[in-house]
Amino acid sequence: MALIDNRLLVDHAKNPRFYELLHSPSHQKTIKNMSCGDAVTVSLHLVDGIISAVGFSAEGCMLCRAATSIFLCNIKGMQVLNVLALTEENLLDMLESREISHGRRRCAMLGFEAVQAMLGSS
Amino acid sequence: MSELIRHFFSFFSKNDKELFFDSAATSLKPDLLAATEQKIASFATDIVHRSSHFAGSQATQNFENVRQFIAKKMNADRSEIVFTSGATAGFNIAALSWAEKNLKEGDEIIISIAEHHSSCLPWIEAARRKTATISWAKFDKETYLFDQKDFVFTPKTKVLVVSAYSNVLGPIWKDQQELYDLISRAHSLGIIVVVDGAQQAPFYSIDLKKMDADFYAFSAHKMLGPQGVGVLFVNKRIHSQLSPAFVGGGALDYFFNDTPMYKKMPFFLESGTPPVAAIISFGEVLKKVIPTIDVDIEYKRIVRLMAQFIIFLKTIPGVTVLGNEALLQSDGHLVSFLVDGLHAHDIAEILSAKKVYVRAGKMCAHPLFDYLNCSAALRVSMYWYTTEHEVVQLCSEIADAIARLREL
Repeated sequence: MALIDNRLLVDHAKNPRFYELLHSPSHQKTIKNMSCGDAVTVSLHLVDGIISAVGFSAEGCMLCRAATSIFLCNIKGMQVLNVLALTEENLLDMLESREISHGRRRCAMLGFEAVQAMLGSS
Repeated sequence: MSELIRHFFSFFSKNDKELFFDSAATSLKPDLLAATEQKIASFATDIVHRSSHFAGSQATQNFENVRQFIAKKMNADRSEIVFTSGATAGFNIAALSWAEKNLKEGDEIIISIAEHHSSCLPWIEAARRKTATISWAKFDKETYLFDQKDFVFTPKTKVLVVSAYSNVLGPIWKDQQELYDLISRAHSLGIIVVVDGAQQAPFYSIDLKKMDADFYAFSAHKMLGPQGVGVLFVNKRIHSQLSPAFVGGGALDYFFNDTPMYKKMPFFLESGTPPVAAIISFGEVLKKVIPTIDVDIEYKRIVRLMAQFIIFLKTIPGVTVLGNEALLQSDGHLVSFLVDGLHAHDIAEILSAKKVYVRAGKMCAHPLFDYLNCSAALRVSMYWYTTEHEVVQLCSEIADAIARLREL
């Protein structure tokens, strides 16, 4: 199945949620995929170890935009420790697509990587 | 005519039809390649240039026959043909073996902005090791072509690195003579010239003596051969300037008072055990598959198909062709393009789901993409086996993919 046939991904690509960076985030991080020029910036606000607000901006393909949107929808309200425990497989389940090819995994992972990097170093 | 050569590939007899337009990355492999390797594996074989027994002698003879065949085909001396593991290894060996003795602090290396990472990075690293400097030669963005004024040599310039044919832009010289003139001008100033032939050699349009580069590298896997095999041409003129890039068995001639004395070229640069079966199999493909076609006539056919494809691309609003369109229509076997508002990976993804394979990304040419100020591009490349029918199908699938994405 082509990614364009995945309704969830297409919905989030067309109408990304939280598609604006936070004004005063406690954390913000940009991750780039140098091989294709994709860049995702994620901003988070943490209160008492919980992700209380999320936002992002993206330059790149449909997949990086949609995957970041879906991921942020899932982690908003979660405890930081639980987000840090998430794996690549958990992300693919959230995207309802385990068929993303090896060559495009990184596109889907950019938002995930940004969040993990921020929380891991905080 | 392409039907004749397609008989060598079981890829085309499968029921599950796939359209392969990524030959510039790696070509399809004829069945003869694996069959020859399997045949060799069923005999006693040995490392070349070592054992005196029959199996070793036969392996050496077959191996050297391939070297001789390539040398003759490309108008070089057999001492100038070094087997490597691919073009990347060739450029690394070139940089390691030449720069060690000859590159000095403050020297300049000029690299064309169109270089693949495999041809530019070994020299960037050599410059770093020797505290030399790198200058990038840039073409006119209107024409996408280099000319003589783009290469400003100074007394400090010691190395020039250029591609014969870009893996992104296709033709980057108005004609071969333009490149030959540049090489000649560099030589008149004592500058070593390294030429990336990875996208040129597969079409046999090369006369190494006439070109007169100092180093010229290409990969077997882009020309129906196996992955893990390549050739580095090293001009006889500079053999005495080289140090061994790697040392070990095969390159050593003898020890003289504890000092290693190395063999002459090409063995000087061939330490270690080469992939004997793969190289002999590559030779079989060169001798038995390629001669079934007239490469001059077939090249013109491919170029005509590419011209038709470019005309199709121009009918799609928002498509930008990267490269000199006039030359691509007369000498193009690959074309890269952008589609306004759509990401190359999204288009390639839809095509892939339909089993249509094109390349998307920056194609290991980040300096070029930075210079052009664009992110990822799509690339369609054709080879001897590409048919008009496949190109028509490709056009239809690309038009459909773009329409679907634009409907979102």
